[in-house]
Amino acid sequence: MLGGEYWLSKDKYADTLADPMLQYYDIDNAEAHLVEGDKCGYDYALNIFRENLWVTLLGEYEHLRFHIGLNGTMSELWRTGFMRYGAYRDEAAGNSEMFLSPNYGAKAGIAYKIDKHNTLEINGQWQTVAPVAANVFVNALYSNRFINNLKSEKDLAADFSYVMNYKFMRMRASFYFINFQDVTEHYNFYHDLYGGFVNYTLTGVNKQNIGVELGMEIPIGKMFTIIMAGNWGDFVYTNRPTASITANNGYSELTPGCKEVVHTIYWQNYHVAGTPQIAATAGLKFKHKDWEVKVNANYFDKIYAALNSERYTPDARGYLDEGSDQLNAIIGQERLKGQFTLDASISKSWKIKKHTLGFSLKVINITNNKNLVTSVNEQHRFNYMNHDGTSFPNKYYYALGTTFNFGLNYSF
Amino acid sequence: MKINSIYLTILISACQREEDIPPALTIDKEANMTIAELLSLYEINNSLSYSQIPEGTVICGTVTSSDKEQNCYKYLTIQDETGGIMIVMKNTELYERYPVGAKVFVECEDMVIGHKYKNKQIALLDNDAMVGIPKSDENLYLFTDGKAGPEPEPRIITSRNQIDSTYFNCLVRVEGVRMQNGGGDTYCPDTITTYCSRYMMLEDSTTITLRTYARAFFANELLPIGRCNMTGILINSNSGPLLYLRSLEDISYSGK
Repeated sequence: MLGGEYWLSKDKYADTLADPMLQYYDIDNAEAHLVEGDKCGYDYALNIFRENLWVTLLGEYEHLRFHIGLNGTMSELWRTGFMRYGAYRDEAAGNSEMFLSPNYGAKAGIAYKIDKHNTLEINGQWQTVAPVAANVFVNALYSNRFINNLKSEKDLAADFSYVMNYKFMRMRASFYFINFQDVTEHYNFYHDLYGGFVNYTLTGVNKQNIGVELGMEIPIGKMFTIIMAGNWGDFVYTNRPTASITANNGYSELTPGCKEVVHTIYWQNYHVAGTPQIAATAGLKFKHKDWEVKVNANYFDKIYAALNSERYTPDARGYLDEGSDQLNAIIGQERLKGQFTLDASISKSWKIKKHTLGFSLKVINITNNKNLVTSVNEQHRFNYMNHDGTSFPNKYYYALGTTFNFGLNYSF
Repeated sequence: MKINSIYLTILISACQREEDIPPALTIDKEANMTIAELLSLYEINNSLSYSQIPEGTVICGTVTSSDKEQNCYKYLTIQDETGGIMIVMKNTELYERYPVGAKVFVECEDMVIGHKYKNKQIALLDNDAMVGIPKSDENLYLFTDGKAGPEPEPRIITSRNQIDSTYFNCLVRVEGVRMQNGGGDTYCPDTITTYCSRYMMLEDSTTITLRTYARAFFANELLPIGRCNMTGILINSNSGPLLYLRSLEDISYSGK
């Protein structure tokens, strides 16, 4: 209680002139004196049930191996509110409607053995996926109201691989393609254009990942192996989704006479963030008896900033000319420079009768490279007054320096 | 070979995308009243200190004032072919959002037209007083693409006697003036903390007051020597017309 005797659970920013009840997080206990152990602010439960049925058929012949899989899922989700926030009083307490989401999927794959050293594989998958619970409600803390136009995500994936297995080299080369449709994303943040916190939902987000992967191992003598692996990918947004925005407090108008703003996000062909789209590693492995030592040099590139979708709107552009430096500062997606790390590991195991005891020690980022930026994101803050993309610069997250990881294992 | 070709085609397709560009905002406003018509809604000599502007009134004008050098303080003047008007503002650094030459639509909803020291102006009303539009509300009343453009051709003044009400809040050029004590006095000495008046003597021996705020960046510069032309915003006052320079670039010399 920080020295206080009790706590009054009120929203001090509420417009009490319009309605004094707006300030109470729990209007059924409006002036309650809360003490240690009492709940304040919000109190709700998300009830999630999921039933899943799947069937897989496998077949293997001399030169052919295949699999076919089908699955069906039913998800039930509802919210139970235990407090009635004044701003959402008609939709805060009790059970929400039940959100039912039937989903299904199919996958299949074929591996064709050209001979005992070379194999071609092709796999495909199509499935629908229920939206995650966090993306179903406009404001799960206070309200039972669902986001408009909730849809299951649709994913289509395919990959084609060539696998080579010789004594002098083992290699796998793959091409992959994944298409995501109708992805839903939901955030809460302070929106400078409306001067307040907002509930923000993106619906109809489509993305596509394509790329190639290559991995190989080349034995050198009996104890050494050269290991190389790499991925080149291109992960982009493939359409212009829709953003729906309402005030987080549930009642404020965002613009005169308008409590909900709906507009298009113009980010088609911009890159999806979250992972390096180029990654490569090259290393040397030493293996002798039960000792194993590895040293790897790693390279990461095509790391893009996570986008603030609101920068890709006419409101952010204003009247700036196409191609102007000021507009490019708004819609230019940052790409980080390529970065290197060096890792090493050592492990040893002992067989004790039928049991195994072992240890492993990994050292990650041996060079202690603390300038390694692991991710970057565009802030949700934006200077709409001057259409200045530099007023709130990107935020960077850095890797830890040298990290040690020690493990003991015992199997029996 | 066929498989290799497919790989290549797909990868090239992946590299050739053009990134999206959001469309620019457009201003879908239309003026339904000229500035002269708006000015005619209020007479300075009547008993009212202001008149309510009719609901739905929209005017349009080109920005002529600039507070970059801080001599046009907390107001914006715009003018169309019929005249100029002062819009009272609460904040400064207006030149960044409303540069000279920018076209501005003003939705006069909730605004009043009145005067201050006999100079007509439009403003918001707060507790029966005319107050400036705060920065946070500018986008509710003022609509502009914020792009600088050519300023209107200034109206030429060669005699104090030619000035009538149609000149006020407009961009004017007073030609052939000689500053009283030019080269000796500054626009506004350090000892003054508010504003300073200097006198421009025209060729017909009439005078017009040049007003400079102490905060103006050029306040400590010496007045020009010899005959020159002064361009600025002409504002009415209880003591007569006042010319406000926007910057020293508003002065052009025409010889001694």
